Amino acid sequence: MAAIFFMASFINNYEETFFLAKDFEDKGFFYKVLGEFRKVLSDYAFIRADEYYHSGLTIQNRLNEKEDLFHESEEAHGESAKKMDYAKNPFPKGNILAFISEEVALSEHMHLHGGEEKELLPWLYYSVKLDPNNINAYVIGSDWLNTRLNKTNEAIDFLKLGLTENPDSWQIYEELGRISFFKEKNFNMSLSYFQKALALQNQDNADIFERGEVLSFVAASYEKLGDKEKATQYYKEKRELFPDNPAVQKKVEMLEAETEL
Amino acid sequence: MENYIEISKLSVNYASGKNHFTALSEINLNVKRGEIFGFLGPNGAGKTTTIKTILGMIPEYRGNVRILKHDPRSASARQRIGYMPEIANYYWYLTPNELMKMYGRIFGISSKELPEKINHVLDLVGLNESKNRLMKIFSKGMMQKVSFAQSLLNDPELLILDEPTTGLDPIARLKMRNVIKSLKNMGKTIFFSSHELSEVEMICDEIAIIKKGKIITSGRPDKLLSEKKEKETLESYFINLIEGRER
Amino acid sequence: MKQIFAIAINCLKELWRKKDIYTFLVLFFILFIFLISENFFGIRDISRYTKDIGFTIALLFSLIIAVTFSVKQIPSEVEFKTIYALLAKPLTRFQLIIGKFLGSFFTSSSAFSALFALFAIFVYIKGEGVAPILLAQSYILGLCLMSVLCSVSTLLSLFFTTSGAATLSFIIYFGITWFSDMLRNTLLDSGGITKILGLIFYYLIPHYEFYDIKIRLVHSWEPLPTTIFLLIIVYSLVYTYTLLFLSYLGIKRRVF
Repeated sequence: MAAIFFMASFINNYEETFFLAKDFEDKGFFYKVLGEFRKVLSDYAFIRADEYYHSGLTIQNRLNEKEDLFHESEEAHGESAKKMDYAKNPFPKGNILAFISEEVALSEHMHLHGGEEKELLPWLYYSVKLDPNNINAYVIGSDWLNTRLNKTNEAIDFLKLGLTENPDSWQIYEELGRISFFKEKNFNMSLSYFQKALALQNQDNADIFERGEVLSFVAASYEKLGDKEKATQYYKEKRELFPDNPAVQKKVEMLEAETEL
Repeated sequence: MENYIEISKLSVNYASGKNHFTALSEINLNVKRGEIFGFLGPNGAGKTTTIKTILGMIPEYRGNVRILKHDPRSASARQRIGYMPEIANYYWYLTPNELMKMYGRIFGISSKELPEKINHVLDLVGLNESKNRLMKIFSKGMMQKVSFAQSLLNDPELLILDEPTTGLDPIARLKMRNVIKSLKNMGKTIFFSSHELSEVEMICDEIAIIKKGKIITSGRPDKLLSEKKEKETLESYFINLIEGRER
Repeated sequence: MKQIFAIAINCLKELWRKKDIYTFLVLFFILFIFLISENFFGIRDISRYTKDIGFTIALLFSLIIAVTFSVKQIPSEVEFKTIYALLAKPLTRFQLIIGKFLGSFFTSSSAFSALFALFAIFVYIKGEGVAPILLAQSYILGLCLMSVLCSVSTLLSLFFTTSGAATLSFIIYFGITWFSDMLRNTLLDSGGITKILGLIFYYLIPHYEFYDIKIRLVHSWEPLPTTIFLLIIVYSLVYTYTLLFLSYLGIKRRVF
């Protein structure tokens, strides 16, 4: 079974993506040894990071949470809906083994905080080591470094590392833009990043919500730089995507009013 | 004289799926206290099955078997028995000293007495110098000596030896025979199977010959041979008996 | 009892003289050095993944030793014909089974203890540490796990080849550890004869998930309630003894 599992990763892909890949010599240790199987391990490391954020609880542990099903807390962040499908009544009393099993398993819901978020960094680090094309790992890792651990420089370095392997990743450019915008307050830099992200987005790699978000950031950057005309232009572009969104409409009207003044 | 081994109408069947094989068919055998008893037979005759039954390794059989007045299947019956297996294989990662200690503890020999007993039996077989060497480097002959030594550890009243001289050089065989004779002089009873008929002729008080699960003859070797008109060796008597029955 | 311990100590000697254990210890040591020396974004004192991987590896190595040692105890005695010298001694077959089991248990437990000690030392060096009660609970539950593993492997070795028994043992361990939740939930959803058969199966399988408190250990959750902890120990003892008794029944009438 193990042999089949490994072979499934290699067959058909091995020659074309492995030995004939561009810059094969420059590829890292994991790429050379594990081939396509490294992506499976990278995803596993990413899932572990998520578990670590929830203090070791797997998705199953969280869905077995014994609290009131209808209690929507900040901690539960949307998993209550799934919980309604999965929640089980306890095993009938008298089934001692099931009772022990339920008592051993953890079934609470909590997040790391207060600097403990550093604990999930190794898994994100190994996730990108195993699969340098795991963009989510770069983005989430840098977000943790920047927002929770105050390691802004490390976050930027991490994202730039991601860019070397994924030069067409709009998500990484967007994240760089966020750091420049919110943390460094360098709006020229943020504008540059957000525009790059916008240019890289297309119908295949971004949905309208993601496009709208980047448009908002471009517009906000222009606004911060004092260029209200450009800001209005981009907010209008977003309005075309979300014509019923009152917040965007209000923003456009406000900027147009300021421009007239 | 009391019998140390009493076997009466012993039958052993091996079952494998739908196939049944009769290894022993109503054999009768008595071994008196203090005698050396030789158990002979061609390969596959039932010698090993008989020995295994005596040692309680065959849990199901028909007939009556008594070893030192005990049922052979009870552990207490084996307290006063020493056994030397046909194939001398022991744990390569142990030294002879450690092996004897392990067996000594199984026999319940006290930790005070054990070192002396170990030294005695290893000295008897000429292994005292090698007693702290791992057995993985031992030759076949040395392993045979270890095998004999462990059979004597509990100072047994009944000694069961399965092909004791296999793998030994002529000098070692001579020593083994002398040890067996000296054990008899000490009052021990020895039951052994062997293909070395010249040795059996030299030392045994009684013999039994088994073929295809049945005892075909038993008695004193000199008496069995004296019944023949021409002077025969035990070997030629054995061959004639086995082949003669086949004609 | 002397007979049983004489056989058990023999197994321990085999472990330490065969030197396989040293390979595991060295590998573990190297791995741990690697784990604690990794630097992630210049942040110090990241310790949970060290605890996680370290404890997993310690348990995995011990599991491998427990299974591979147990499955060959009786079969290798038969294969190399050393069983005849043993059975010719005043030793019952039940004592033989218990002695062999204890030997495997001592072997795997000593390996687990050595690896666990290394793990505990490294964890305390690294900084975060672990609550002593959690450490004690995970160690004792680890020993209980070795006990159940050895008894399952011993029983399987009497009816399958050595490699077959080892494979089955590993499949049972990983299958139950990964799918126990699913099995429990499936039982809740089922009814009628399916539920009855399911419950019988549920009671027959070894509940390896009881011993899995790695999450508590790594993420410093509260320890197991004392009642549950004691119930698990009792379960381990009862289950182990039952399997050993079944093993004895398996060889009681066997002709070697």
